[in-house]
Amino acid sequence: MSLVINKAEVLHRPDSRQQNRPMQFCSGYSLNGRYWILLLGLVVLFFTGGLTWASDAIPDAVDAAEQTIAAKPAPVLGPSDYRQIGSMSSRSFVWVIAQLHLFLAAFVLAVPLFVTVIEWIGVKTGDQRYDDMAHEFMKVSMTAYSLTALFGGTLALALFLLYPTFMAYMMEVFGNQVMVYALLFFLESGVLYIYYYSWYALRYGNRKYLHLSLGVLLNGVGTTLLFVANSWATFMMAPSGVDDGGAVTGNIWEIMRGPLWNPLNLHRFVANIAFGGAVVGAYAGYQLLSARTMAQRAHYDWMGYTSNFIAVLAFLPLPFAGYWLMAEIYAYSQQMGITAMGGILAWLFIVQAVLIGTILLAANYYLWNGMSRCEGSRRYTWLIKYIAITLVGSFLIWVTPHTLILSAKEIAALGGAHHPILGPFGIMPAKNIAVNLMLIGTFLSFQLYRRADKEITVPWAGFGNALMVAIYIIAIANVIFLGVYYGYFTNTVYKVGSSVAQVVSTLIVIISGVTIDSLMFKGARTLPTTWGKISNRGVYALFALPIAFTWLMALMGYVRSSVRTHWHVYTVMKDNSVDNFIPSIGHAANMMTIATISFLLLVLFIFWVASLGETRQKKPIN
Amino acid sequence: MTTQNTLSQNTESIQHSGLPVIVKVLAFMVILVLVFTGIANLLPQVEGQAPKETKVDLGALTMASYIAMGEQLFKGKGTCTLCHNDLGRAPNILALDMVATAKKHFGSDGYKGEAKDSEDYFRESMLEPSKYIVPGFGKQGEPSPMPVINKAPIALSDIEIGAIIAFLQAKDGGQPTIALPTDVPAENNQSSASSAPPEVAKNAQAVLTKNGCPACHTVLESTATIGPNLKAVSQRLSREKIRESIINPGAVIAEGYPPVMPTDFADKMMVKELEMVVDFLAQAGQKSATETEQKGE
Amino acid sequence: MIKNWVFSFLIAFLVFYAVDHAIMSMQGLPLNIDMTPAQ
Repeated sequence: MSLVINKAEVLHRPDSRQQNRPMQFCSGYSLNGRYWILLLGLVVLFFTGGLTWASDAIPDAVDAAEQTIAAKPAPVLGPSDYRQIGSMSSRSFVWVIAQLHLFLAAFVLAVPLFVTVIEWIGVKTGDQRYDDMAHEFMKVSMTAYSLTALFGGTLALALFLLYPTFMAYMMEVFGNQVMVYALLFFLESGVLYIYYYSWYALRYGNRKYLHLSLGVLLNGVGTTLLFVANSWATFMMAPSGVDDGGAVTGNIWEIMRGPLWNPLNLHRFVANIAFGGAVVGAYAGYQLLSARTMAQRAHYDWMGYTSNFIAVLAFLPLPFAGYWLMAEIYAYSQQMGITAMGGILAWLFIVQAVLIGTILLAANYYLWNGMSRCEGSRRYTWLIKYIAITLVGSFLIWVTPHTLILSAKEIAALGGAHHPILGPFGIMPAKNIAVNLMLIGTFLSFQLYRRADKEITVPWAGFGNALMVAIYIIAIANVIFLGVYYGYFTNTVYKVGSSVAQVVSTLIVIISGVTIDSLMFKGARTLPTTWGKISNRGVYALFALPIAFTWLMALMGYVRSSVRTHWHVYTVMKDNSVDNFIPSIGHAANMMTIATISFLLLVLFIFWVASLGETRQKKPIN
Repeated sequence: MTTQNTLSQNTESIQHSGLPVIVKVLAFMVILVLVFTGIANLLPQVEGQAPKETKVDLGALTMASYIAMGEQLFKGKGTCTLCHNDLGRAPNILALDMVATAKKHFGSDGYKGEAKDSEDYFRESMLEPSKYIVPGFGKQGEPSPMPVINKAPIALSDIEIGAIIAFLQAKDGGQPTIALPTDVPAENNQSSASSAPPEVAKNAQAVLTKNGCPACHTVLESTATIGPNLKAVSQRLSREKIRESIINPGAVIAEGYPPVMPTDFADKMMVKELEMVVDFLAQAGQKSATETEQKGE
Repeated sequence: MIKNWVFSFLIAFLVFYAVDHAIMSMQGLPLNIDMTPAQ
């Protein structure tokens, strides 16, 4: 490892967009490529070091400040602590603004995550099309960033205007941490603009690694922003670092690190990626359908496939992250957990089942349609109908409710509040079986698609395939056994515990599938893929996906807020506003639809602005 | 994810017909959203109302209404039925004979609590649920998943907890052993003292008696000699001096007497009462002097 | 051919059997050999 001038790169820069006076480090030397690891390491060190220092310094600063100010309990709110804009419900207004902010924020956090990965894949494979696609994704999301900030600012002002006493308490609790959040945006903006605008200045060789490091830094800052904002939401649900009356007793880390913080961090981090992939997938799908040449169609087909791949890959572990979040909610307060899943919000999870069913069906449908790109898929198409049957059957089970709202006559006719045959499908064990089978089925579609364009040549292929089949069959049998036996024939704790084993079974299928395949693909013959050769029908799946994701996100926001019932901060500060009731699911759905359609229009605007930047008006002849 | 040889340079153009793509795509997406919205609106619509603060008229409370209140709380504000139902998470209270069940539990060998009867057992279950977890429920080695009922978020008051105990005792045909809640005397006194305007004593004799003067002074029917004789005090002291002796006894202490007169009459007596006493004592001396002369003492 | 299948199913069965026992006992829910609850 030595500092050398990489002559080859200096002489053979093919891209004419490079400036004539290239950026140079100290006296003309450029860093050897292997130093990027050092750079990356420094970036990571900076963040972990910074956070560790902050975790020590900030509490000291907070403690010092608090020695002079006695901790006050949470105030009891009365009518004078709430404001309204005209006669508009404050809750409704904040709901829509907050939801739009979250949609946009999820998007702008997600895009740099997979853009950096795609950029890195481009470096590894040497295929410039990955780099171009990464750049195109980034371009599309730039406008989204300022819109996110606009809605964030509006949200903050709305909260201070409409809920001043509540916000005063939150500022009391979180103190200087909110300033850290604000200042991080300076870093985020700076890095974002540099990352995007330096794309062609830092394009090849050693500079590319610098650019990648900027991408990593951007994601580090973005993730930190996400985690900080999450702490406010989880504090409201499960307050920590305060006493029973709400007076602050702990330092900022104790306040932030409540029982729900990290589950929500993981869930939102992964879900953002899935959401972002789905949104850019819609972009690609639209571009494909309006493509004027086959080449364009092929390009956007490939882009759509990549986006869908990202979305579904990130989506697969989401139920597990959501399960962890729910488990922590139950551990924190059984009552809160049961309110969510067995009480007033139970029907909501049936709607969630509809949405996730839509997502999985759409994702699978896209994969099956995509198989027409490759002749090699014909070997596997016979499996599709079985996967489809499993998906639809599982979906129906998942959607089946337990408690039916019936009239007295209907109850008498039925012999109870639960249907005698379908009732058992309404409880968790059946739903766990259903969801795990759906995930296994989706992964199978994935795996078949990946295998479709390859002819495996390794000598142990026979054993490898047999092992894969055995894993699938035993895993499916295991999931069903665990659900049926422990779900219906043992007591509650075993029933709940068996769902973890089911999840692990599914994970084993996914991990072993990926591992075995990557080993079996070594030296495989690749068959031709005709990008663009997909039915237009199939492309519509790329539009169903973001709609389902978006509405699902809004639905989960409704759960998160409602699970606090009539509390602003659970057990600490009661909600005494006129809106201190959980809205009915119909009303919530209408609000969510307003937010979703608004977001749809915003996204159209974002994409349009991106394409506007490329539009060139023809100069008039005279 | 291969891309070799197929992202072609194929510039073959594609014909578009019918509605613009944007219209078709938007229509598809909006219709899908509306399908989801429709499904949600077709479901049973329930609003989750916050529990309302209710005042209990303790004077009008009967055991029957107390039990009914307990049942309402059990199924409402107490949120008991969230877990105590037939799904196996917690004992199915509504289906069990609770007094008999309680007896079985607090009489069993594994019982680690301190209840001796069903009332104590129910109260202990609500206020200290981790003291004893019924076998077959909860996770080994972990505290009870049941929340503490008199703390947030449920935060039932003592009266409400008592109502639930009454309900649990009575629902299977038994007689509740828990007493009806009554007004707490101390609270009542305090409220009446602070709310009602103070009453002025009827006459000087009542003031003297109320403030304990006869305990030390010869006045009215008393012959006490701890303090000076008040029946003839007007011969010794003027009105102003009498007044001063009451409100500031330490200013001038009569010769030969101990300085033990209470110094807080200025706080306890009302102005009217003070003037009544001063008038009385200023005149009484003359009267008693006359009486003494008449009786020939 | 048959050997592949027999071995595969045997391995898969053993792996999942072990995983079931491990996951359940990790949560404080031990199982008997025949998978019935041990509590």
